[in-house]
Amino acid sequence: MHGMEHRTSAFSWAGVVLSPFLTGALVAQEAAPEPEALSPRNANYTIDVRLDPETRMLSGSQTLTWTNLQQSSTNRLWFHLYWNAWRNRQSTWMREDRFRGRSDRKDRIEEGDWSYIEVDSVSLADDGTDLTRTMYFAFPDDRNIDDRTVMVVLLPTPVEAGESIRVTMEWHAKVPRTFARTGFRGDYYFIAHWFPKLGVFEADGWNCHQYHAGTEYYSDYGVYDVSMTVPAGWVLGATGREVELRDNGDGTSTHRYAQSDVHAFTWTTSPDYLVVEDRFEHDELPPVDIRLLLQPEHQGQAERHVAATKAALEHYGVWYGAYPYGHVTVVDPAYGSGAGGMEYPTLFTAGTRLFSPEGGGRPERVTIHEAGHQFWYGIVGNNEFEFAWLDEGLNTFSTARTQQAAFGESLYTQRFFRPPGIEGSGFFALLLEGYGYGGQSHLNRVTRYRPDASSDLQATPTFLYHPKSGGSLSYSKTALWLRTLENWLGWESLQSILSTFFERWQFGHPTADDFFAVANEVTEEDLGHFLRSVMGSEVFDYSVQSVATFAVANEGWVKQGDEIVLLDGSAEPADGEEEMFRSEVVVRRLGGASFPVEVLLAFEDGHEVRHKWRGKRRWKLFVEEYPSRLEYAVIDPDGILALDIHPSNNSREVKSKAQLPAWKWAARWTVWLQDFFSTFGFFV
Amino acid sequence: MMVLRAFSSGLLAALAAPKLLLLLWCVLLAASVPLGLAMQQEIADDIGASRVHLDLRQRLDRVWLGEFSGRAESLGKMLEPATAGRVDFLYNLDLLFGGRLFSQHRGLVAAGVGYALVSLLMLGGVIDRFARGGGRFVLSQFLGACGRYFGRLLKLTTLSAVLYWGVYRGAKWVYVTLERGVQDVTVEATVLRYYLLAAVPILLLTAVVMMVFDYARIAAILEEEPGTLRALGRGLRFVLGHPVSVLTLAVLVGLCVIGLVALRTVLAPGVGEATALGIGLVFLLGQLFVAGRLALRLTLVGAELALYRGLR
Ligand SMILES: [Zn+2]
Repeated sequence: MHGMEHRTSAFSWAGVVLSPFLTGALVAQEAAPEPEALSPRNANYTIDVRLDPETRMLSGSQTLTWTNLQQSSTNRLWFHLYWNAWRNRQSTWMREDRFRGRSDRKDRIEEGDWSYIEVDSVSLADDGTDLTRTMYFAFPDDRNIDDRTVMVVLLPTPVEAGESIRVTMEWHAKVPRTFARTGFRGDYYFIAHWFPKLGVFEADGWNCHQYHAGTEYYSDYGVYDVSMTVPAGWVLGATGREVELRDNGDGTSTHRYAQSDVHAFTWTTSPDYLVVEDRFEHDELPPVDIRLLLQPEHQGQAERHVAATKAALEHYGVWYGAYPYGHVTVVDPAYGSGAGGMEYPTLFTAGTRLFSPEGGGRPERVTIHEAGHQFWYGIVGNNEFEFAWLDEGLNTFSTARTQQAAFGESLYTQRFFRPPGIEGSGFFALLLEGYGYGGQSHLNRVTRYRPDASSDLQATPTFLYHPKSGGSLSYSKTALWLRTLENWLGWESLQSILSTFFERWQFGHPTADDFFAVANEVTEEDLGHFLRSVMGSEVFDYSVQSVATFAVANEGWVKQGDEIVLLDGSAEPADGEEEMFRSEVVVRRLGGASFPVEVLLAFEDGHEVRHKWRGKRRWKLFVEEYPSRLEYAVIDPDGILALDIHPSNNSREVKSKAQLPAWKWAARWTVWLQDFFSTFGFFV
Repeated sequence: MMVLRAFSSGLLAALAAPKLLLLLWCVLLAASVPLGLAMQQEIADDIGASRVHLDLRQRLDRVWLGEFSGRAESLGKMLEPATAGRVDFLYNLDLLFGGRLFSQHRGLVAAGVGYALVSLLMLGGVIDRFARGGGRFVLSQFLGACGRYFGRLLKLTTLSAVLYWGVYRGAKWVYVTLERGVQDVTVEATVLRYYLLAAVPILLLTAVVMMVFDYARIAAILEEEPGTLRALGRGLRFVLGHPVSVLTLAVLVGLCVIGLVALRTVLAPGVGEATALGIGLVFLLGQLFVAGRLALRLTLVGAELALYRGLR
């Protein structure tokens, strides 16, 4: 609903901003009339930026046209200055990055590696009023006065509801050696979250968080018209489509790109990119031109990138809704640039290695994931500072589903040749068979989720998650509870939830509650209890505690007719009377969270009994009398509860059959151990 | 020609000493089987009565493996696809080259060092037997020789360990410096080329240390040279005096090891349904591989001895 309301008011803006390339003669490609605005288009940017590779500096000037969509007025504009996160070690980003314990660069950041962005001037575009002196830095999240990632500009007069304002800025910025997928390596540049970017003015004020190590971004939708000046001859890729290419005659070229209805603009340039073009076509979906910017050494993997992109466009498109932009740019980042695996509107980075054998799932998985973000993040633009799980979780779930559907389960990749002192994985790769998930590869998320399962309440705003463990909740836990919903409600029902959510919130900013509202509305089940549980930090862990089965012996005092007789258990069952066995199964709820589960009792003669259990109490006994012995019991036999953190304790056999497989793996391991010892023998 | 003659004489010496091979193999078996049994126990205990055994019969199920690694206190953490498959040799070689061999599970590293010491102990006996040869293999004689030369060999080996450590530190410095040097290179193949190129002098240096000490050990026993430094001097003089022969011989044996590994990789059965027969077969093939490696080790000793005698 929220998204729909603003469309009419925003539409007029689209006309104003787009007029230059509707009327101008400079439009290079056929200037199809801009279709109806898809988004509110209330934050529109025209930017001129120049990259100087010598100094690794950007200098930019931009005009922002912003419309206040809220009912209240504001006399301030809040901006993100993301690149100041890597200005020095005092920023909130750097501080939090240290908690993540994975930044191998923290000890050796060289002089030229840091970045910054400085705003040189701010003024009102219409009358030239200089606002430069009103700028100040804000630290709404943590009061870190050394953080310079949020800047506020005071306005001389408030912007009232429905009004618009045009602001001009001049700025310059130093490109970092890659932090958070942004930066340079050699002549390779990946320029993301690079210009002073407006926060989002919401009903209760500005939503403009500082840059955090563990969180991503949030912005309003708009129209971008960006001219990028780079060395002539370099290949450039960016959000949107190129509408003009101008040779400046001074060794530089200016690439002008335009895109409507997106909430960010990212670009990359390098002299080395190999450009591969392809097109996605599908009976039920609009076509999409695919532009792949490939590292030349990955030429042999071009088709794999394209196939994975198409798989995402197809499956997400069919499941959730069509990709509306008509084009997408896939960037294969330079080796060691650290820019792999990131999403931006109509452009994303994949990531592969020189040796990535087919069947190992790379680059397919990351390509599907980032292409999938075009839907969850790009089109449905939730606040990633606060509800990262909405895009990352929905997308991680969808990635696994798409990969399974399009490529099946991938093999385990063992990498070799990692020289001393070198971080990361080896250069050569071998695929190993026999180490998979048996078609349940989405359960790899259980392994990632388990150690951090109780690290934070999922309902906590993402920027307050612990920087190290937060990802386990946003990505893995959410993917697992969505999988649980799929198993529980059926795919059609979950698909209906997700596609309704997509339809309703495309080009909008949904919150967690908006998702829950759609979920409750679309399904007939009452999801309240489940959703409240997963938003907490309690874990699901059901187990079969014990199984026992024994003959119902004729022993002890038994009433026979009118008499009570004492039997010693030696009597055989009478002719025609079956021997009976009593089977007892104790199941437990080991975790704090509960979920209705089934309990399966399987007997030696093949007979099976299923009981339903609400799963609330801490334990429950199931007893069966049946003329065959119990063989095993399973709680949640259909694996509905993908969130269960210990799947292996969900079943129990009367007789353990662990020996043979234990021998199998121990025998193999012993041979490895002998080789390991022999390797020590090298020294003598 | 001398090299080939030395090589074949080494091979013959190894083949003519099945009891020696058996002894070495038994030592390795004795070092590893108890740990293997402990691993078997740990896996079986972890599976317990769970039906996850059905998955584990087919594959090293990674959902279970994730749970197992999380719960495992000790040895269990060392179970992973690379240590339960046919790439074990490559994996260990990478650990050795990357300088990560000694940062593995502490107990296993300690056992590995212990095994190396026992190997060293027996090396004295092996060289003595190959050098003075002939006659029936008498265990007590063999062990006597082992004991007689252990002190000398240990001193030499301690010295070599210091040098290997130096080579490792140097290699690490080279790679860290190189990594910084290629920080603006955008092509993985180029970086890989540099890294492989850097490996050449490192491996060469390692090989030189290895050979100098191999021949120093031979000198210490063959020529009854009790002085560590004097033995080292002889080894060094020999290697410097006949660098091509020495290197060719080492390469020859190295190629045999590669051939053996390749053969084993091809022959090793994949991961299939667990059966007692299959498990036995995998283990048996593993033992043939292990015994093959030991035989090649003996071949190297015998060949080096022959070369030393022939060229001295
Ligand atoms: Zn993602």
